Amino acid sequence: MAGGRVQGDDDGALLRSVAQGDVRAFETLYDRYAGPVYSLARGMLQDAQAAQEVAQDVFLGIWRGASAFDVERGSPRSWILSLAHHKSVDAVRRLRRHVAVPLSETMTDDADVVSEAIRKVESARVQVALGALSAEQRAALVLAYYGGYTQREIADRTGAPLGTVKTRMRDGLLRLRSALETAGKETVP
Amino acid sequence: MTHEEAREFVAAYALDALAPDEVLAFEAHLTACEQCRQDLAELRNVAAELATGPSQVAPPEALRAQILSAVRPASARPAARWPWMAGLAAAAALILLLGAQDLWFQRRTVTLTHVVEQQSQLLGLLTSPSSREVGLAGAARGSVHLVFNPVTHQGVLVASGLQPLGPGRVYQVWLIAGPRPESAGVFQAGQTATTFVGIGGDFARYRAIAISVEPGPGGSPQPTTTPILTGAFPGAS
Repeated sequence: MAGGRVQGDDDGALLRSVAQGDVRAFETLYDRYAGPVYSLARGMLQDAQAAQEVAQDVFLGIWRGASAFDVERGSPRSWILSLAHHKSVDAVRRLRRHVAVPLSETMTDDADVVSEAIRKVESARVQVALGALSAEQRAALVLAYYGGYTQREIADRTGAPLGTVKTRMRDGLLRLRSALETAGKETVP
Repeated sequence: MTHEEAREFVAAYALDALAPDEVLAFEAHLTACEQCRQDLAELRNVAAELATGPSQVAPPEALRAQILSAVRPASARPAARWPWMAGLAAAAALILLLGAQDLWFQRRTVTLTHVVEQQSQLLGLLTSPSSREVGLAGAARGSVHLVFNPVTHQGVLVASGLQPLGPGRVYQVWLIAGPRPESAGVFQAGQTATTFVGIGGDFARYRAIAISVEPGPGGSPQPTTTPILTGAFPGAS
């Protein structure tokens, strides 16, 4: 989002320095984002050890991949948080594959899965923004983002056609954007 | 994938809600479509706002030291630890930069989003002190090694000198824990280039890795021919 935030520009400069192998810049970036990155992984995985592994993977990914950062693909902040999310989803799916009992049998009710995912949200700002969505849009977003489910799994779980799930995700994100704009910018990086 | 199909995938991609095969198809479109890239940048910025949803916890201090020590020059990338790997990391970087994306992390493997991230992952894997290596041997000529990280569950099969197969046949990789080998993906060998195949899995579970020639393009549920190459995992009895 075009916010003209000084911090965003600053992050871009830091990433460029990191791409040149600047350890100091990397430290600054770490101090700025370790909290949100670790908290996201921890919230999604519900496991401190696994969250540390993900965070390590994310920051080494930033160190090695900083030169790949392309402002055309989003802000530095969203690049870092997307990477954190991506790695967390990978870890969630890996864990799920190794659960002996299929999740569909442990989670008897779709509503349980949605509320389990939604329980991971503590930020009042995000809660309020999610509250602006329809229940179906909210379910699609939280199952995907916090639950790590694919669109196809969400369609299976909710019994909605795949096309409908796709529409809910897009419309949900667009509605989330306007709700967040109304709520104002958060102070956390 | 048509532009209309791709457009429907943008939101799911921004939410990491695509299956690995869908990611590959979508990314192929993305490299050629400015409009989808812009659409994605916007939706990704929104999705990133969800990242601050979970309760904010300070990471352990030890994590900072651990990560920073991994990037400091003192612990700079080690030299090639295996003789066959000499020069390979640089070659891998080049090949991946040239866009050999299709060779990377297919099927049940972990799908990575960014091309250069893929490259750095590969370099990281090849040079990480915690990576392990298994050499494969058998009837086929060529040099095939699996490098894997038992902690991150990422691995890459590095194959060179394998005979290119005719149409309709593929090399299929199997990981063996119990009586039924588990497919870890299929690949084609290039004429000259080294082939990198991403293999994901909990490697501690497996005793052995094997490669057989199977009908393409998808391979077989179980091996239908005698493996041409096999290797045992370290510590496997």
